[in-house]
Amino acid sequence: MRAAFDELYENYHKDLFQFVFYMVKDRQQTEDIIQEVYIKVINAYDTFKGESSEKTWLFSIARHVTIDFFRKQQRKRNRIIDFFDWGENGHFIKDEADLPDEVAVMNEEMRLVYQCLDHCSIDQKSVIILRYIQSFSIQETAETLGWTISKVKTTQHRALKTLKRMLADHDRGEGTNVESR
Amino acid sequence: MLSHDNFNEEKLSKMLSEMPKIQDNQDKDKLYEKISNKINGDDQQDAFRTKQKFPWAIPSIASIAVVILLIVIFQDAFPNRQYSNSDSASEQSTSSSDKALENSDMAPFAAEKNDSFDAGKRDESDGMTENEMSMLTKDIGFSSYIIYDSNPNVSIIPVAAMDENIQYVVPLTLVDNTNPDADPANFYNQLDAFINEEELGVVVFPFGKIAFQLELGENKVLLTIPDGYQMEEGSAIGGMFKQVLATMFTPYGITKAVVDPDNSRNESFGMYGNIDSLPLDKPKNQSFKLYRGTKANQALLIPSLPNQFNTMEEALEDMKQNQPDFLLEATIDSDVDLEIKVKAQGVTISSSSSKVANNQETATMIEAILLTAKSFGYTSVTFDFPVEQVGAYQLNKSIQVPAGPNPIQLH
Repeated sequence: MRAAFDELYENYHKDLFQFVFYMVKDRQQTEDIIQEVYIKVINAYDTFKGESSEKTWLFSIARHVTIDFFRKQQRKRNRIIDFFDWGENGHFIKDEADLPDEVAVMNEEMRLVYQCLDHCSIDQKSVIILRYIQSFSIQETAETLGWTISKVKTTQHRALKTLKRMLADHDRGEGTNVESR
Repeated sequence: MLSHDNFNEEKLSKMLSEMPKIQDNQDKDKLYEKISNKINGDDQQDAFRTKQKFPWAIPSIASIAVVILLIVIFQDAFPNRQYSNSDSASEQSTSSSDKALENSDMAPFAAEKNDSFDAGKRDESDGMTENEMSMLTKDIGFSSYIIYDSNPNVSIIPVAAMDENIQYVVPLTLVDNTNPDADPANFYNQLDAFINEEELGVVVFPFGKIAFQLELGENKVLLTIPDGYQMEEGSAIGGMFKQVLATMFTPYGITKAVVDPDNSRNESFGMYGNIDSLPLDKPKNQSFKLYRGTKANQALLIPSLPNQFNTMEEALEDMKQNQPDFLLEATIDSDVDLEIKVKAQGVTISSSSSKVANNQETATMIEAILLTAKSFGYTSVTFDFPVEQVGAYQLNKSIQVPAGPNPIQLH
């Protein structure tokens, strides 16, 4: 088990941590998810069929674990909203996670782009992180997400469009939600 | 105020690629320790759970022994009556047995296990065990089109697509061996991410952003239909909507699809009229044939839905017919004569044809018959063939019907 962990850690840990972190934007939650990913991967290591690369296999598991995490978080949030009856704007209430040091030191435009990522769907966010932040090829991204190449391209295009719209809204002073974070 | 007028795609892409690298500050050895503790902790918990089962397992075994003893005594005391029952059972027709078998439901997949189904499996004491079954998918030696729900660490999710002519529902089974407790809704809410249309030669139903929520306690699936979603009324695809939903959700015991009134503005199923609930009927009495899309890499076993057959004999006869116009291939050789005898839970299929041999065609026939038998409500099939083994199928034992057709390994 240790040998499998060492190999995965050496080859992919930095990228894996980065991917999950940009998905959830919280260091503690990232650490928890990463542990879960390793447990699943190590448990399933013997059954890995090698039809995709080890890297895309690992990241597809990381993505599924992260989506599970979002769903659990959404359920909790729904319960809280139901309880306090925050009404229609309840879904705008977001976790006030601090900016990580690495982002906090960057210029305002970069911080804004970082914050606007939250307005992308999970699929759009996955593509943006894999393609731009992780520098995955379109082929690798398609394998990781289990999509066709054309779907990756379409989602990437829509994600950039969403980001552009959010930045434009902010520019027009409509981005109070973005600025409040 | 910043000016973002110049946020063109190129600039945005550049900024995204310059996002800072986030470092993990955890120590590698400590991380391993945490993971290792969790894995070992789970193992210990499993062992503990096993230990906890013993206090009630022993009385249960004792009770079963008493029941068996009573049956033996009863049989000895009334030999003539027993003979008479068995005689009449063998004369039962396939169609008349359907009613008696209505309770032997399809296997619910994924996390929600049905106790009655498990009990049914244990009744087949002289059949192949689940472990033996799970070996089949690995060691069959021929292409296999079915999967058994035998590994507790694996989630199995029934999904569906359509053939490329939008004529038939194509049932598929997603297999997630990384998450034993996978939430099925995750898969239903992004089906196209898990089904490779080109490779399989299928078309995923355009559910768009319709969200599914399974409410198993109330035997219903809740659909959140986004504002502006348009069902293609009168089209072939629109007509498949109900069949696709039924194929995906009835294995869980779900009997209706309901539009979530709180979250859907378009509170009706369009072409089905102004209704907010759609009954889902379990596909029954089907025949299974091989479908091969024109550019597909592999064939799939698909049912005759919506066509139903009155008897299993009729269904098996249909399985001898090629339908090239619909890209369907026969799964039973037209020269192979099959005889069917029905028992309480299972069915016996006999043939003395020399075409029944240890080869791919016979293996596919066996799997197609198992799926067909399942759709007629049977839980096992005994094959009385001139060969004892086909691939990894040992024909001297009854074979349980599978959890689902056309497995797709997700990882």
